[in-house]
Formats: sequence, structure tokens, C-alpha cells
Amino acid sequence: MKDNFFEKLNRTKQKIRLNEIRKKVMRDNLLRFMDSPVPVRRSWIKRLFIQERSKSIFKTKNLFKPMPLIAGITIVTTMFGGGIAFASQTSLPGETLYPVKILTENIRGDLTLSTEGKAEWSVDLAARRLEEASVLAAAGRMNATSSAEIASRFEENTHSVKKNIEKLKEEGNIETAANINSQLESSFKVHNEILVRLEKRDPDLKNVIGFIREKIKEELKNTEKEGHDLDEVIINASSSVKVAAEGKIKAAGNVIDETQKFINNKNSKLSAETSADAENKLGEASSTLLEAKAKLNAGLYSEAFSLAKEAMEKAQETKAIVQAQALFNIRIEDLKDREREKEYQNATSSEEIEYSTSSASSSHGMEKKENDKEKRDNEKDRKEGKSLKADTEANIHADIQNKEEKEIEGEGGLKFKFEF
Amino acid sequence: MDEYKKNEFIKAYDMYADAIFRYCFFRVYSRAQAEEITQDAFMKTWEYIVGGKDIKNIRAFLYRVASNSMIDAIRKHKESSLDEIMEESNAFEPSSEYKEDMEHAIMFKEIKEQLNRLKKEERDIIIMRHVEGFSPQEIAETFNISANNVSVKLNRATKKLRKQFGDYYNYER
Repeated sequence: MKDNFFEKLNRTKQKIRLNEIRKKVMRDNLLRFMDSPVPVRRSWIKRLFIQERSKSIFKTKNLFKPMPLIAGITIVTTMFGGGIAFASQTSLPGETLYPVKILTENIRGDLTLSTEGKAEWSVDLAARRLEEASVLAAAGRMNATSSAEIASRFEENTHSVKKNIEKLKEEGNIETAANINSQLESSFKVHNEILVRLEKRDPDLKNVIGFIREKIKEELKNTEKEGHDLDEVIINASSSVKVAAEGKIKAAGNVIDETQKFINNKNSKLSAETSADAENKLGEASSTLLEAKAKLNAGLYSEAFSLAKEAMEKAQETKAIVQAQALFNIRIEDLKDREREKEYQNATSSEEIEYSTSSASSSHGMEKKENDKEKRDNEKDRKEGKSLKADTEANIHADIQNKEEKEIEGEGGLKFKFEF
Repeated sequence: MDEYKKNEFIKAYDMYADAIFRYCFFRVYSRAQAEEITQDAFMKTWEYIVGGKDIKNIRAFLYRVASNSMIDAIRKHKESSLDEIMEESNAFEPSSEYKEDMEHAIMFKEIKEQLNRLKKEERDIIIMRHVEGFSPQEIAETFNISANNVSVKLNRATKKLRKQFGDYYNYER
């Protein structure tokens, strides 16, 4: 069956359109051009399209003394291989390896090429900050300094997400932008809920957690607004609300599938109860999606769109919960390990420890520096008569044993099991 | 600069940007380039206005400027590779089915091949007529040629396309 040429031409031409966002960007550029005496010319589009290949990974915040380039390369290659970088990943504000963690986060972000990848990584980073806060709070080790540091990095990471969302919008990738915004929102809601529960259980924490929670509240307002704006753009840019709804349904289905895979992966790190709870929540998301499909078939496209969006949010929240719980468990375990390590070192630090006279590669240099600092820290603590072991281990034990699963009603009305 | 002129000009942008973009896209087959040429066309037109010159038919003027810009752009355009087809399929508004995007991309490639076999003026005229919806008279005005000329070229091009397309399908089967 052949359409004649002109029929095909007709069908194709309707699909060729200037993207809404693009049109507006060009319009703004034009207005600026009209106002400025000096013409602003062609390169603006090229800038939008060129991947940031030229961005140097060594432009990241250098938390150590400046290293020669070769040493830098050594660091990068050993960074992800294991050892320090790996060990640093669960470290917390106030610990010696924390700066290494931040450095590896920055490097990894820079090495990610796609805007979508960068955006998702930034979402993960913002979540990490909130996880760190909850672990510190649960272990009773949160103080004003850590709180401030976490809050400020959290702001940076969130700002990064927003920047990347803008970029995605400029690239015309509205649906991805909407998904990522939604991921961020879910992450905020879940972590806020966790912090709420921690506060309720230990009202003293209000002083230090309150600050971070205020920030989360602020950011939630932003993501909600952004979400609405993006939905509007999606609906306007689609040839029909039906098409927009179909798109959202498909996207929600993908998120649900991804989340299921995620839960399966993390199963070993979760208790049976948490797993079951997660499966339930995901089941809810699936039913909501079925409702959305029913509305679509009934021709109720707006409702189908809203329900699909709800289904996606539920799935994303489930993923955020599972991730938070899995990481919380790991981090708490690691914290305990580190405390035991320290206590061991305290007991044996009176003996001289020979440093390995290894080659002068920077990673070893860093290890040496780290041991030095830790040694000094332990000395100091010993002199101040602080007993690390008793205090913190007791706290951690007590908190872990305190597995009250009060379903405390949080501010967002989010219900889920979380084990501290 | 005259506020009135500015407003009128931006109104022209709002009205014609899509059309100019589409016109360019069917010539250069790259979304990025089409956008750049569109933007450029508007800027050049504004500079012309700022220079004190009067434009009677801004729509026609915009098409002419864009057309001239494209001569350079087309010289740089290479043959389509599979990657480019995929890139082109991104040029369409996102549809709910990946399959639909591919169908459109393939259909589009056919159209592009056919159009490329025409002479430059014939191609322009076909696009103006069938994509932009200009009447032969309007086309004549835009490109400063006689209406007769336009009709003749239009006829010739249409016949060619029908035959080419027919051949294309006969060959395929």
C-alpha cells in the first residue's frame, strides 16, 4: 500500500515543529540581541549541543595539597579500584575519609557525560547527604558542625540537579526532566519522613536536624512547582492530551519495572519485613497504573495522566525507601566497625607502628597522611580522656535494638516501615 | 530603538518562527542547524530594519534570508548515515511508541531522498507549496519570480516526484 508522496509529506510535516522550550529560548535571545548594541551571534546553539568533553576532571575541589598531574592520574585510576576510595564511601562528616568521599563523588560526576546521567547522579548525591544526616542522628553523633556541613553540601547537590534539569529542558528532553524532578521529590519526602521519626524518638535532635529539615521543606516546594510546570509543558507540547497520557503511562511502567529490579537486588540487605513492605508499596503503584490505563481506555485522558504520574511517584518513593534502608543498615554497620577499629588503635597506639616504605605514589601518600591524622586524633582523644568505645557503641547498640516500628504519621503522610 | 518596531518584530517571530524552522528543516535535515538558521534569519532581518530600511512583506523577507543562509549550510551537509537517521527520528515530537518514531524516521528518509533528486528551485517551491502552504502567487512574490514561472516549475517538480516515487516503489517490490 503506497501513500503517494504528497500524502506522506503531509503526515511528516505536522510532526516537524519547533520545540516549545527552544522557541522561547530563541525568543529571549532575540530580544537580548535587539537590545544590545553588540550582536550576540551564532555560537549559542553550538554551546548547547556540545558535550562537555573539555571539562577537566581536575577542576574538582581539591581538598588536598595540589598534586602534580601524573600523581593526579594515579589517584584517579586507583580511586575507583578499591582501597581508600571504596572505604571512604560510607564515611560520614567529621571523619577523616569524608573529604575523599566528596572528591570521588565530584570526579564521578565529571566523568559522566550525558546530562541525564549527571542529573541522576546529583539526585543520588543529595540523597546521600540526607542519609548521612540520618545515620549521624541515629547514632547520636550529630553536632552543629556536621549538620551545617551536610546542609551546605545538600544545597550544592540540589542546585546541581536543578541546573541539569534546566539543561535537559533546553535539550528538549522534557519527559526525562520530569522523571528526574519526580525522583528528587520522592527522595526528599522519604528522607524527611525518616528524619521526622528520628526527631520524634529523640527530641534533642531537633536542634541539629531542624536546620536540615527546613532546607528539605524549601526544596520540596521548588520540586512541586517544577513538576507542575513540566507537566504543563509536556501536555502542551504533545499533539494531544491522549499522547501525553500514553507517554506518562509508559514512563510509569518503566519506573515500576526498574524499582522491582532494584528491590530484588537489595533484598539481601533488607529485613524480611522491610522487603515485604516495599513489595506492598510497589503493588500499590502497579494498581494505580492499572487504573490509569482504564481511564485511558475510557477516554479520560487528563485523569489517566494524573494517575500515571501518581503511580510513578509511588514507585519512586518505594525505591527511595529501599535505598535509604539498605544504605542506612550498611552505614550503621560500617560505623560500628570503624569505632571498633579506633578503639583497637587506641589500645595499641603506644607502640611504634612502622609505615610501609612503599613507592612515592600519591595514593600511598594519602594513606600515610590518613594514618598520621587518625593517630593524632586518637592521641588527642585519649588525652582528653574520651572513651570512644563505651559512648558511641552503646548508643549505636541501643538505637539498633530500639526497633520500634511506630508508624508515625509524618508531614507528608508517607507510611512505610523503617528500621533504625 | 522604536518600541513599536520592536513589538511588531517580535510578533513576527511568534507568528513565523515555526514556519521558518520547518522550511529550513526540510532543506538541511538537522534540527540544530535549522534552529540556528532560523535564529540567524531573524537577527539578520532585525539588523536590516535597524539599518533604517523598510520591509513590506516580512514573511517573504524571512524566507528569502533563510534561503540564502542555507546555501552555505547545505554545502556542508553530508550523506545520511544510520546515526543521522536516528538523530532525525529525535527531531520529531516524542510519540508514545518507539515504533511510530521509527516509522516516521523511515518515511522521512524517503521524502528526503525524493526531494534531493529535484533541482534546488523545484525543491524550494515544492516545500513552500506543500509544507508551508503558500499559494503560487505568494511564492512568486517571495522569491521575486513570475507567477507563471512558479506554476511551470511546480508542475514539473510534481510530475517528477510522482514518477520518482512510483519508480521507488516498483523497484522496491
